[in-house]
Amino acid sequence: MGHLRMGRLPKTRRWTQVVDLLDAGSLDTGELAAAVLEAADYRLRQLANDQGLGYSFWLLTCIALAARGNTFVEDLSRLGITTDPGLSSLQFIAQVTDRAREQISVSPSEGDFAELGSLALRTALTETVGQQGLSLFGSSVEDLQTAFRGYSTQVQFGRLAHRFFGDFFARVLRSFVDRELSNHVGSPSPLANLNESRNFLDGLDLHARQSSRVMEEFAGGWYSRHGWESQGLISRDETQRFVAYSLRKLRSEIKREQDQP
Amino acid sequence: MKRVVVDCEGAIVPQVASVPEPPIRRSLNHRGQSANVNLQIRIPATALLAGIDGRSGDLVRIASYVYAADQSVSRGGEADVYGDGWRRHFVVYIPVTDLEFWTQEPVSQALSDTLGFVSGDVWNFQFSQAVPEQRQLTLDIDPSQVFGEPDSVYLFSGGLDSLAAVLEGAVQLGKKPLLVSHSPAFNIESHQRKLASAVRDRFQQIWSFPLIRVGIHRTGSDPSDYSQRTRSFLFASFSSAVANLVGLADVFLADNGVVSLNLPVNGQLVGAKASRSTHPKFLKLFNQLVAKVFPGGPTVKNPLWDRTRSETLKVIMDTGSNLLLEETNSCSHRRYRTRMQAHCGVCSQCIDRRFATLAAGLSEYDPPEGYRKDIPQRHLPARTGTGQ
Repeated sequence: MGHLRMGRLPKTRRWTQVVDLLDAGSLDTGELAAAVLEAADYRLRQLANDQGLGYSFWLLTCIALAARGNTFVEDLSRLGITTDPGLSSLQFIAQVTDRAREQISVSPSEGDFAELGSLALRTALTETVGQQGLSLFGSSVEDLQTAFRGYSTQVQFGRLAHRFFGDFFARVLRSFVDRELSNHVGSPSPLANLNESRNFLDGLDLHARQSSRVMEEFAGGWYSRHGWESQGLISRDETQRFVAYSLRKLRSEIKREQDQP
Repeated sequence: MKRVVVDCEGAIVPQVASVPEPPIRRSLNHRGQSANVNLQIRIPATALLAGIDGRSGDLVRIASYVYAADQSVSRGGEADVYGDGWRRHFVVYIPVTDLEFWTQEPVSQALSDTLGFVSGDVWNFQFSQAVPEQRQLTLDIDPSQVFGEPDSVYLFSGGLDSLAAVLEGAVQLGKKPLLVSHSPAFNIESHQRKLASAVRDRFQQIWSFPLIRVGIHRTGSDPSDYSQRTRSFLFASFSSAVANLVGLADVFLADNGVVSLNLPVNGQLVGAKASRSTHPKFLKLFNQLVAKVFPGGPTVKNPLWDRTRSETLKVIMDTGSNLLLEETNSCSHRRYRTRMQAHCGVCSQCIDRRFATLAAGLSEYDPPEGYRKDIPQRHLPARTGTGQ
């Protein structure tokens, strides 16, 4: 049956500017990213209160903190995540993502952003813990904890957070740009064919991830300070406030990069 | 998130103190002057008439009203750039025959989980006891067809995949399929009937291919939303109820594996925006629900889960049924169908179909003239298949 609900960009002045940039002679990923954030500015500010998005990052934080302690299995169980013997790393990551999605289904979050947050959570875990050489066909709980422990230090958690926010912002940008890009492929558009279109989107992803690098030190510091103060139990409220501030920081970073000569 | 309170068949909704954002209200009924849901089931023999009540009737009734409610509230449309209107929270008040069963927490949770996954919405139910006249569904019987002794239920949408599954079952595996189709509109019903008749004509020596047509749809006004993400739940519910009544273990809901997973083609397609009609997780959740409703009863399976559409076309070719291809329809833009151009050519189903028939070398039986817009073939590699 395979139905799709495709959307389109509104015909407001700011979104029209985004469309005009796609028609411009030389496509600049930084300029486009800044224009998208400008057009979506009002809505992106509301993400500060998005409980579904906040939950995904909170889950990431809790798992990293749990890996440092001696009650890894129990701590995960309290989060609704089971660690059956023989669970592969990918199965575990899928389970964590499912947990985030379950939370979205009961939270009053609106829009696509919470879902994008759960996908960013999956990417952050797949690109880090998923690459730790764990067996695809089953790992011991100890192996899993060891893999996560590698990302439970201040520096390594910062890298995990960088991947989370980088992927989230890349997905946010793509969710808007993808609605329009196909109308700008082929002569006389600057993107001659699908390969060039794909390369441009890869560039946009890279731009979002690079701009999010600012999160590494910032998130690492927050994690270390609050993890110590709260003895490994960072609350959802604290995390929500951190996510709200991080998103603000990221938006201004992308705009600042664009404003620099 | 939009909160929608739906009362079905006059179920009483308790008064609540005024709230800042009162929920949207919808009343749905399939009887009386205020009827706005058509709940018509055409069955080719009286054997099933007495059976559509109890839990079977409850499941079909719940699925029907869910399907109607799904279409009664907009998801925000294409201009909803942030997807703020996509997810809705439904609270459905509905009478059921087996109140004790449906109010069990694991049952109502399984129902909510299944619908939540397939639609992307939140579903809660408030059940009440049905009065006698609500217990049995109205059936329109067509005794002219022979029911026979089927051994499995096949959902028959009139598209390529369901045809391939039926042909594989009957011609290659020796099954005796009971076809079940859902016809939300007259033009679709006539198309499905015509295709079933063509299958019968082609393979009448094998089996009679009895067809049950379910005419469940909204009436009175155009839907507020056309996405119909709960349609496969209705489809699967009705078929499972029929299979259970006839005592059949297998219900086949066919979609090729690529469409079944329906991987998002771009970044805006999150959640159920890419439909999950036959997604393996939906089938798993649905079967868990059905196992509670009908213990030891039927299981819904996708016989084409490990095949591409091009591979499913091979079944049609191998059974010498290329001519039946012309009778199938895959287009999701049903409202714009014409006799000469049954396919829009731009919806994902049309594009998927066109690629597959070209890849299988069956273009002769799926000519470009049948598409309002044909995809640019000049970019495709040359194919030398004979289509025989």
